[in-house]
Amino acid sequence: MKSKTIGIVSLVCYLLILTPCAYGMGIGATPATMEIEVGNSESVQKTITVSNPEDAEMEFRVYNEDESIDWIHISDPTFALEPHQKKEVTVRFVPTADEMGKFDTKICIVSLKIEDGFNMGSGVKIPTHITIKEAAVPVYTNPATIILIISWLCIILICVDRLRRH
Amino acid sequence: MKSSTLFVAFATICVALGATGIVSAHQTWIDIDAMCVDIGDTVDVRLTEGHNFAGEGAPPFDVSAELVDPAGVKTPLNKTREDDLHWHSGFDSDQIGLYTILGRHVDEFWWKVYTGLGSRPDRPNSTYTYFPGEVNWSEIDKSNWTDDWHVVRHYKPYKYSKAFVSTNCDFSEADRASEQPLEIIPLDDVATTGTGDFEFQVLWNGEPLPNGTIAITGTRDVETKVSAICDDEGKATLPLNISCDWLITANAASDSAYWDGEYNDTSPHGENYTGPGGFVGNDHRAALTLLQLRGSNTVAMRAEIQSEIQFSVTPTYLDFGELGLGDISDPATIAIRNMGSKDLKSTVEVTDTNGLYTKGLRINASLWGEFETAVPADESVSLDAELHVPENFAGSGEMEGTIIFWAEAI
Repeated sequence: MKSKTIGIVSLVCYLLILTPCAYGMGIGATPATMEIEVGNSESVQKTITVSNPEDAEMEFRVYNEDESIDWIHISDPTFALEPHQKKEVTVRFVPTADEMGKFDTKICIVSLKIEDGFNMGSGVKIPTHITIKEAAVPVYTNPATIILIISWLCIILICVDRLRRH
Repeated sequence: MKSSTLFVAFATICVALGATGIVSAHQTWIDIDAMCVDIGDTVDVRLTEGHNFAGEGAPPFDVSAELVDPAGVKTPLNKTREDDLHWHSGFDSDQIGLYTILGRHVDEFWWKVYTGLGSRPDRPNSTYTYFPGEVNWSEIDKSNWTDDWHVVRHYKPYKYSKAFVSTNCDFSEADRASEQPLEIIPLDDVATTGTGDFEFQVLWNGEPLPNGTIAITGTRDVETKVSAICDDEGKATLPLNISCDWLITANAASDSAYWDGEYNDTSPHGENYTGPGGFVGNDHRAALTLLQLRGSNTVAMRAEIQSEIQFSVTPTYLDFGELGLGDISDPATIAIRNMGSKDLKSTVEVTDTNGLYTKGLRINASLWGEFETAVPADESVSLDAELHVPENFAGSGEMEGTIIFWAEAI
C-alpha cells in the first residue's frame, strides 16, 4: 500500500514537472490594426480580443508602447486566461482639448513566463493610428454664444430697471 | 471516384485475394507511438517482425534504420537496445515538418518447398514447408511429402519498412520517394487514412514493376485485410474504410512474380516433378506503418473565427547550458507557428541586467536586434538561437534575462 502511494505521488510529481513543457508561449489578438478618429475633448473606445491558444493558463499584460501618450486608457492592463480562453479588453482614447493632429503608437499585448534564468514571452503589437480633430462644440457651450446671451440678459435687466424708475 | 475505377479496384482486390489466399508472410515493420508529435519530443522507433500486424519478436540478423529529416538530410538511427519484441532506436524531433523513418532488415536465406497436402502434421492444410539456412536434402524425412515435391523458392529476404512522424501534423510531403529499393508511397493524404479508398504506388528502385508483379495489402489484424494488385504504374487502391492503425505491405504477387533472381531447373525436387524449377534470388518486401490520426467517424459541425494575429513560440524555456568566457552555446531551435489569419512580421526583444543576453544572443547567426522574419499564415519558421559569452563578461552563476518574440501583421 505504501509503495503504491509513493508510486502515485511520484507519477503526479512527474506529470506536474512535465506539464509546463507541453505547451508553447502563445498569444492571439484581434484586430491586427486600429484606426481611431476622435475630437479633442471627446472620447472613443475600441475593443481588443485577447486569446490564449495554449493548453496552460497564461498571464497577459496590455499597454501602450508610447509612454508619452497619457490619454490612452486600458481597461484591464493585466489578467490571466485559462487554456483557450478569450477576453475583451477596452482601450479608451480620451485626448485633452490641447491635443490635435495625428498620432501613431502601438498597443502591446505580451504573455511572459517568469522563471529563474532566461525567460521567454510572446507578444503582439497592434499599430494604432489616431487622428484628433477639433471637436464640434455645441451652440450652448460656445463661449461667443454665452457672452452674447449674457450681454443680452444684462441689456434686458438694465432696460427693466430703467422702466421701473420711470 | 468513377464507377469504372471502382470496378477495376474491386476486381483487382478480388484477384488479389484469390491469388494470395490471404497468406500471411513474415513481415518486418516500424512501430511508433504517434505520427503527430510536438517539436522537441523524443520519438521512440521500434522495429518488429511478425504476422498480421502483431509483433512476435525483434527482427534477427541484419537490421538498420535511418532518418530523413524535414530538410531531406539522411542520418543513421543507431540501435539503442533490443528486447523480446523490438529493435529500438529513436531521435529528437527538433525540426518543423515531416520526418521519414526508413528500416531495413536482411534475413537469412530461406527455402520454400512444395511438399503437398498433409505433409506437415502441425499444419494439415498447408502444402508448403519452409526451411531456413543450409539444408541437407538427403537427411530430411520426406516420408509425408508428395513425389513431385520441389523447391519453389530459395531466397534471401530483404524487408524495407517506413513510417512517418510530423511535428506540425502536415503529411503533404509523404508522397515523396525516399529511395528505398522497394518502397510504398502513399499518394493520398495519410491524414485521411481510414476514411475510404486510398491510393498507393509501389516502386522498385524508383520505377514501377510490370502490371501484376506486386500485391499490396492493408492489414488491421488477422481478420481485417484488404489487398490489390499494382498496375503498370505501380499504383493500386485499397479501401481503408476503418479508422484504425493500418500496416500496408507490398511483395511479389505470386510465386511466379519474383523479379530479382532467376528460375533454376536444377533446384532440388522429387522424382515426379517436371516443372521449370524454383526461383533463386532475393525476395524484396516493403511495409508502411500508418497510424490513426482521428478518433472517430463522427462528423460534428463547428466553426471558429481565427484571431487575426495568433502565434505560438516553442519551447517555453531556453537553457544554453554551462558556458565559459568566450564560449558559444549549442544552437537552440525555436519554432514560431502562425495560427492566425494574417501574415506576420516577427522581431525579438531581449532585456537583462547583466549584458550577457543583450550582447551575446544571436538569432540565425545575427545579433538579436537585427533579427526580423516573416511568418506566413498557417506556416511555421524555425530559428536557431546561440549565446556568445563575451570575453570580458564579468558575471558568474545563473544569469537572468528575458526574450520576447513580437509579432505584427504585415
